[in-house]
Amino acid sequence: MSGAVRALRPSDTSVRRIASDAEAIAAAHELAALLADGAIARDRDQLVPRAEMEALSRSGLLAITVPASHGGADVRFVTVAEVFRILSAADPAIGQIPQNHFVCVNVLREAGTPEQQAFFFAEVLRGARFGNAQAERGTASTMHIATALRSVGEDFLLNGSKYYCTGALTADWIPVAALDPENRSVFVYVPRSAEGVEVLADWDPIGQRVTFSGTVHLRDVRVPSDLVVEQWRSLGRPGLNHAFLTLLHAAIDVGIARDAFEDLLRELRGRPRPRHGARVSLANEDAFVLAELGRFGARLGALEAGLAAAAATLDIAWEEGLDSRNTGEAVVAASGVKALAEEVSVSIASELFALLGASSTERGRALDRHWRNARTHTVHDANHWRFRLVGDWRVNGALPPPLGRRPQGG
Amino acid sequence: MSSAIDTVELDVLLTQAVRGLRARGREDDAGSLLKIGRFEARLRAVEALPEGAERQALVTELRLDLVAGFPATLPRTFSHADEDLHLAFEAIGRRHLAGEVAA
Repeated sequence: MSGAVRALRPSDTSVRRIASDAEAIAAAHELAALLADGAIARDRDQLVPRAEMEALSRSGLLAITVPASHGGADVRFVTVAEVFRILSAADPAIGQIPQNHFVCVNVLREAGTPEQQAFFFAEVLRGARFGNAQAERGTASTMHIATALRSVGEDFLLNGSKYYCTGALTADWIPVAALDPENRSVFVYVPRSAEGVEVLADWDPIGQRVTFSGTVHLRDVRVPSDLVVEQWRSLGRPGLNHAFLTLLHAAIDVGIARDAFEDLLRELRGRPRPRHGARVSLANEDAFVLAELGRFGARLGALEAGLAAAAATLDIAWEEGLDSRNTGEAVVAASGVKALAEEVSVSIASELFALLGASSTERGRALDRHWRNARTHTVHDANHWRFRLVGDWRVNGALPPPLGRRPQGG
Repeated sequence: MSSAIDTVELDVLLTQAVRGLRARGREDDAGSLLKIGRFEARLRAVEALPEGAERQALVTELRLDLVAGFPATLPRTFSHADEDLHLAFEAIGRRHLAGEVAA
């Protein structure tokens, strides 16, 4: 890396260095216990989770996919999915914020130069957080972008406006999806504090309110070429990025479903009085409640097992050596569990009110947050088309095409 | 019959459904592909569950839904246990409420 690029994260001994899959799971449980306490208040008041993101950095979890050759734990995909599920069951907004961090670490792994990998993996091991600035409003599709680099001497100027920039507000670096002067797909790793970068707190959805996935403006941001990761080079060969990002989305929704189900159980155990109209003397004798509870419990158990099974397809592909078949099948598996997670999470989060009765709708109980969070996050991309992708594979043996950003109008 | 055998049978049923829609020229129909994709995803999730009452109940539920999804293609052989599926879920719900199922 040239002298123009400086580390943003000082060496910090309080950042844990996780060395194994088991340590990662344990660290996720520790952090989840911390996050669960304030989740309702953060959602209610839409608080920027600065302290929580610092706790995430210190936990060492952000570096668990850094390759072992660079000093990371290089944990399995099964472990990453479980970490996301655990964190999201505690606070799904905090669980979602690092999703793009992990995707961007993987972009470096698949497309970074050795120098970029050495520099950024060291940053991540010191606790650096990647936000993201990928999607744009008003283009032909979410894969079409207008944000572009323009050559200025040996550097570039970056211009564009992004939305759905989860994590950007509290990031150290913002990886920006852009087009290089030849209209090829690149990721530009921009310091959050760089001149010309403006991150707005204009995120106002019904759920996942604490992700602050709002606007990032980039106005003549000067970028040395060292910070441009030529993702287009990796798009022509088999990779796991699509499967990985899909798997993490699924894990977040599985976590939401678990949190909703545990709240349902807790509320039911705490209320002996049956629902108005029930012909039983105790709530736990209501056959309809028990049957629905059992149905949800079984479906949730299958969903969690399915998440682990889908994650295992990524691990197997990695161990076998990536090819178009095993990476495509990993996308199929991750897509299936992601789409299923929408159905399970939304149904539990919605029906819990019917099973608990009128008092469950009191705002102070905040049980609506599960439905709002599930509804908001599961529409990240259309799960009807995820199911169709799975069906196309089962019926026609068709594998999904690789993801790649295209120029507006291209 | 163990539910492990049942998931194999479900896979056979799903294959029959796939063959049926291919025979009718529906292999590119979006709605048919969505339906197959949903069943495939459910089957893989059930398959990942360990043996037990949850898996058995979901196998039954999925078989009933599969047959309902392809009523003209798949064979229909039902039992009274199929009609009593809600009782299986009720028992599972009772165990969850009693804290007998680990999260």
